[in-house]
Amino acid sequence: MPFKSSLAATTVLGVALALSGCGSDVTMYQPGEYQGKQDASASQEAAERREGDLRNRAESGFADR
Amino acid sequence: MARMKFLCDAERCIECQACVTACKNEHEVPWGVNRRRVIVMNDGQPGEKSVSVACMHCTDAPCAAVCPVDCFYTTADGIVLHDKDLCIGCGYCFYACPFGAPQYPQQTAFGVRGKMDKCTFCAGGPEEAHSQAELTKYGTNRVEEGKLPLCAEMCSTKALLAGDGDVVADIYRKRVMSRGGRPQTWGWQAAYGQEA
Repeated sequence: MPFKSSLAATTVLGVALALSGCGSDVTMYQPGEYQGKQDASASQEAAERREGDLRNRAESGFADR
Repeated sequence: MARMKFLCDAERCIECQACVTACKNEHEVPWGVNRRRVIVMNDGQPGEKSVSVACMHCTDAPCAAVCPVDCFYTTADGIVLHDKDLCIGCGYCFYACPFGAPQYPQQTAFGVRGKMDKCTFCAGGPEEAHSQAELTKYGTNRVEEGKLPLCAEMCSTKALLAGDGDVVADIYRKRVMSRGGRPQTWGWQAAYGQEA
């Protein structure tokens, strides 16, 4: 009898534990996707903003006089 | 969209190591790490050539491909950066990189395990631009100020070029034209031992 009750308790606990993994707060690991902090300087807008300055600097700095 | 690239003109590099020194000084790079190095071929022999090498900010970066924690990312203008908070120091990127760009800090005789360090194209990292955290972990952020990497801007012979790949290619193409032919170091003769 005690064996049956402990088995039932273990089963209930196991099912509860398995179902808890199905919640919406589970973080799914996406292989190949950057997992770190977001860098504002890496955005398209930031790149477009500095593109002109960097181009001018390269053209004026590296071209032979 | 611009795509940031380095190019070292081996015909002009005089192995002065100013790029290496400028990089170390600007970013306060720790002992044992050289984000940029000058490689010399046929050292001491006639026809000696040197070329300055750092992270090449690959389009399909092998370091990012092998990173088990995916701490590498590429900015919209093609600069490959990494998050040191996420890096576990496994060294896979060190093995994968054909240029030996990612390096461990080695402050003792036997080296220490730590966060990987690599050239940032003077673009800092994922911390807030110009913050103390960014300065400590990655160095200064010149790109955000509209400046190019200091190693290239310091180069006295203008051997090391940095910037948008199209601009760099234009400048280099004009040089090759004015020299009267293809670059002597990397032509068919160097690759296959014969005149094309």
